[in-house]
Amino acid sequence: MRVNGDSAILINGLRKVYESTENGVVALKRADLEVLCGEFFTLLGPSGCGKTTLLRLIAGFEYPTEGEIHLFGKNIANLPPFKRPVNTVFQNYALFPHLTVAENVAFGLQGLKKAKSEVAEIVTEMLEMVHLGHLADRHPDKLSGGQRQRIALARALAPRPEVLLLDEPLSALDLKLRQAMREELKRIQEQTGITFIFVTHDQEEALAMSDRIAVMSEGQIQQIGTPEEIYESPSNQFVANFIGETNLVNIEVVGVNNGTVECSVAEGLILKCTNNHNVVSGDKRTLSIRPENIRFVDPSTSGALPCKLIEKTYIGTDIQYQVALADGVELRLREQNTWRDGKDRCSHALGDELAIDVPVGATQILAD
Amino acid sequence: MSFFKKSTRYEVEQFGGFGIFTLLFFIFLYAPIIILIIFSFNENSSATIWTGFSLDWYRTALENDGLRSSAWNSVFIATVAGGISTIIGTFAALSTSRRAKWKGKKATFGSIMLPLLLPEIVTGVALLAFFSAIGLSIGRGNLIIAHVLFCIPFSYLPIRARLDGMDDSLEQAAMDLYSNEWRAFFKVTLPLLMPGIVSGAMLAFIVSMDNFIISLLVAEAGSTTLPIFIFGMVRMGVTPDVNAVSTLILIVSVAIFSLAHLIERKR
Repeated sequence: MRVNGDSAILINGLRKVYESTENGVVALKRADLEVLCGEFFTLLGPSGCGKTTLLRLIAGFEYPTEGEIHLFGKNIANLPPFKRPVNTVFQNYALFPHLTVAENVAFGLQGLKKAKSEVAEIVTEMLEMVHLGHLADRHPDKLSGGQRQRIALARALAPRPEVLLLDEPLSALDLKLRQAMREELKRIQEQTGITFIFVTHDQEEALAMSDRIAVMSEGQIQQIGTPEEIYESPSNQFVANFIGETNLVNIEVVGVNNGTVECSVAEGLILKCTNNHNVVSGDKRTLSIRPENIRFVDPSTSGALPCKLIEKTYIGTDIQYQVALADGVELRLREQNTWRDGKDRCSHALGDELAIDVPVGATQILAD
Repeated sequence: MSFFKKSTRYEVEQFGGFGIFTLLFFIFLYAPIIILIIFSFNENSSATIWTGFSLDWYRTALENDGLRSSAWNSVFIATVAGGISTIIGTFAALSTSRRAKWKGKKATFGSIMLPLLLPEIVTGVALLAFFSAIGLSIGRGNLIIAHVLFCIPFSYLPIRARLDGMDDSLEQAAMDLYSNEWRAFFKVTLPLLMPGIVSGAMLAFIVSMDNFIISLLVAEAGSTTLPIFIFGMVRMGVTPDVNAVSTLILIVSVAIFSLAHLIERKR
């Protein structure tokens, strides 16, 4: 019996080079990662970052150039897909058009040579789970996008795989349906207890659904962590920029005391932040400051930085400002567009001389 | 009234005289065939003057032993050669569109399609010389070999087109769902490929039935095909029994094509 928290997938030094072209395209430079049993794990990154290659390597549609993939302790890196207890939900669903919904869902079970009665029982159970029992005898081309999506899910879950792989399964659906399917997927994952590895380029999707996320770029894993860790303490510029919005500011460390660092941004402009990367005086680094963490304050407040408002954008829930500080340094900040006792919501006008406060805990020194 | 009728879109029927040209075009296509069918029911032995309705020429044609045996010969050859070329065409299509890119892909595709472009007379003479050089003389066998040769591109094309239009993620899904290569092929690839295979087989059958030049060069005594026999009849002058035979062949061809179309539409 698998126990939650066991290592479901353990990947060591995995590398994939496509040799068919002249120089060979490096799709995956090197991946090391562990996915725990029962986890909802997401591979997140822009297109071409290697996330789909990594998924296909786990599924068995590609074989690695180097490295190992352990599934509950057994190296499966060189097994064909039909010998891996792992199933895939394809991006385009890949339902068999010549088979009915029920026959589609039964396909994997028949491949495992299960008894007829058992197959019928599981198919019914799976169709119930995705609320599509009434469509058992239809063909896939008679279904809507959302229905196909759920059949693809039922088909992949029917053989009870050790790990379920999902390749951008929601990307073909419209917004409303996508949000409904997110909750549905999460519910099914919790109900079945199966480990999910989910591939997406949509950061909101990743943050909302995942237990842990691996952010990927250029064939490498940039950071692995919970949604909070990834968003609150990005380890490098790519992660900080890719997940949410941020201000990236080049700084030089000018003073370190008791875990607080003084960073010089420009002549006479000092920001303070916590020392989470053990920097020393003289280090040149990049700071990440989330726009929603910067506040307008009264200019007389201690530590307030004087600035000038140069741009203002109304975006409904928020108002987004761009301010210029000393020496041409610009920062973006957001204020929630809430009703504040009759006070005009957009009281600041372009060109106003204002002041902002950047709280010590709100800035992150990035690793590179 | 202007030359162009007012319309927001570009539509060809806006051009003046479009209807008349369309009509002339269809007359050009079908008038000779319709006249041929009409005169096959002529009572008179003339192929040009109508005197009255009769089915006599059909009886004459069907009672002609030479015609019957050559028709049977043609159907046999078309079935065997069409079948063999469809099997080869299926393998060729699978091996050209279901594997990673390799260097000679374009050249291979070209070589498979080349018999389509070669003048028939060249193929015919080459085969004749080749058969006599190796001393091969197995009657209908020679014709079947020759027909397989020029039928392959016709059966290959629709199968390959079907295969190219089929996403290979379906086969991946089958393999992912615990099917080895064989089960994936027989449960997924083959059923989905079937309409292409049926079209390929039909085309090959028709092309083989229809062939004249290569058959004439390669055929040995006693293995006459229907087109060769009809040609022999016409040399004596066009009689209405040739019209009757042609009408029968037309009916069979139309029936086969309609059947193929129905099969394809069903799935």
